[in-house]
Amino acid sequence: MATEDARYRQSSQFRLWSFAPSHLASLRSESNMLAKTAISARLQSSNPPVCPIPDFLTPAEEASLLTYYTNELLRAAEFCELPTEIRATSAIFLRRFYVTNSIMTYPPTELLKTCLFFGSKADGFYIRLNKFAEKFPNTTGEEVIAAEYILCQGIRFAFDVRHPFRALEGAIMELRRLESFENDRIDRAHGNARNILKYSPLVTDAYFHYTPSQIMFAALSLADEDLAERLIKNAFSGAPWEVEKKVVEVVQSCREMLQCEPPEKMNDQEVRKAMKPLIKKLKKCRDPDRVDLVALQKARKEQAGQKPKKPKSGLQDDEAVFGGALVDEREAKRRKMAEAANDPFGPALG
Amino acid sequence: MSRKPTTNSRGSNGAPSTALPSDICPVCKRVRYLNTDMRFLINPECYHPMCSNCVTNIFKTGPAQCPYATCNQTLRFKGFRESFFSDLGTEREVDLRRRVEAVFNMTQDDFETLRDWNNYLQDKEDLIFALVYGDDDERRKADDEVLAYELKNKAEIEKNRKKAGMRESERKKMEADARAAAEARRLEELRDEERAKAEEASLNQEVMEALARGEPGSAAEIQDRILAAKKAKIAQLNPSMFALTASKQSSLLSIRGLKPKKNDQDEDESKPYDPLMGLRMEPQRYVLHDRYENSFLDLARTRDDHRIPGYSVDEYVSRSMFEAFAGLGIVIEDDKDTRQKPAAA
Repeated sequence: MATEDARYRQSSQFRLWSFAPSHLASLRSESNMLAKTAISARLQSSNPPVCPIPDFLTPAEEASLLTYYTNELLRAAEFCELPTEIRATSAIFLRRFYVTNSIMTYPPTELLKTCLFFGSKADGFYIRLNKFAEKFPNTTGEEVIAAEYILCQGIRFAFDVRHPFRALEGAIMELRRLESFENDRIDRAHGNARNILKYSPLVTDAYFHYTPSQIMFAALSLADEDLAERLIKNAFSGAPWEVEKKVVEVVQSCREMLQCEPPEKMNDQEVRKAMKPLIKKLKKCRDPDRVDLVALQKARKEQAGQKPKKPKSGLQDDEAVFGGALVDEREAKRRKMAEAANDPFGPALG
Repeated sequence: MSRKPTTNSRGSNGAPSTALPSDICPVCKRVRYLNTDMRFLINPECYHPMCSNCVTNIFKTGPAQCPYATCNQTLRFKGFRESFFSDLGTEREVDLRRRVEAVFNMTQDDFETLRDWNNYLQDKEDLIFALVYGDDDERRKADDEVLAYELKNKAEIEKNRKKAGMRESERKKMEADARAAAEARRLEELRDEERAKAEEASLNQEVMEALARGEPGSAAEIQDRILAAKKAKIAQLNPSMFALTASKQSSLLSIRGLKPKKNDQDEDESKPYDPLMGLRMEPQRYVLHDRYENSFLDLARTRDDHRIPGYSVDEYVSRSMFEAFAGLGIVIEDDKDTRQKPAAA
């Protein structure tokens, strides 16, 4: 294994947030199922009970909605004039969050603001909360940070997202050094690839299935295939050809994934219109308890505030600590053992 | 003899008493009153107590069955010993614990996480519980488990045992060293103190002698002079009484209770310490050159007012080059499919 790969393997992106496609799909369908059961139970127990349980979103519908909301997030980020890397980090936070949480459970319109705000914090770009909230209609700072901790939990506290942007700069520098291509051509490819990286991998699952370097090469080959091929050939000049072939295959499959979402789609009105019925459907089947995240956060804080009022653990007797049933069970077992005829000390002498 | 049997081996609650009998041997019914040096022995095969006379009579000539009714154990003379605890249940549990402990003798350092270590302890405790309180089946099963584990991990157990022994001896040696050092220090202090006292006692006499010799100055001056000289001498003799040079004290200071320095054979001491734990940093897929053409970086390279302190163009270049090729050879689909399945299940 090359040293570069060994070092990448230590990142949280590889350890926690890289999945095989089948695994990711199973994770998503699982969270979809969990959300369905939880929400239908809540709807039934609400007062008055919602009588016909509404149709829930399927995992496929959730995926297309997630793409839509990621797109919305990127547009909002553009509006806020955030730096590229922060836009990407926030988008990935949103996508990661909705791997283990369903869109039906937490409202994505709130979460995407939280992601933007928290993403800029995670990348060391500090904005005033109120200034940030002012940029959005009908939004208070409280609403933005209400789901912050939930978001952190959802992304498993992995705040470091590895992006392909700097990798692209490295590749371009290497290409310039090789001096076998015209500078104009390299510049053009650079710009195109950067445009692709700013959008396509963020609205697809590329970050889950490929490493940043692979994504970068896929984007570069979309912009100019020869350049990417040349670099990969150089990098694997000493390795057996099977390795190189495998890498080329992986880059090719990543390229196909990126091709599905070209950057032109970002402001495509058709796509947005097509989402309308799904958004309506989502509004019907979302979690009634988690619509208002601010109230949820307040309730949680109150709960946390009440905790110290509990009696101190030292005053509890053992039964409460270890569970009475357990002690009884053990006692019963011991008694049974003592009565058994074959106990190690034998019966009394006659 | 129509003596009423006083050895009621069943307690009032019906459970068999596991206490060591105090004055009547349950086998031969001899009473301590008649032979005061009676000792009760047990055999860890079945933990039935009997007096030393019985043991000699029954087992001296060779292995025989336990004299207790319904006990089918064949016992040997060699196996008999005195019980450490007066309660034989405790004695048996301690024996079993010792046996399991000898087999499952890993330490917390052998485990990667605290959870693993706690799970290991829990498993061990379950085994012990089954051995001590379990019924016949459970006991046999636990016993087989211990035996199987012992057979399988013989080398590992032996290694751990040696390690524990070494640790123990190291600890003992350190304690002994500390004790010896403290003792030496104490003696030294005592000696110094005595010498200082003797010096002080001779002060008056010396003043008188100096006066008799007719040294210049009044009696008080002479006394002051001699006193100052003395004080310096005493201070030299007895450093603990006066704050003195640190070099002398530091050699005497000893701190106890420190963890012994790690002395693992697996770690090669001849090699320098590697903070990256074997992770190598030099690139394999590219060669880092001194100079890369990049118009964005030209300003930062040439002009100071385009850099903040700590920013290094070379650092940026090496990082970009690393990121361009890091993870290129990782195929997540193959890699994660085999690895993540057990974790996800």
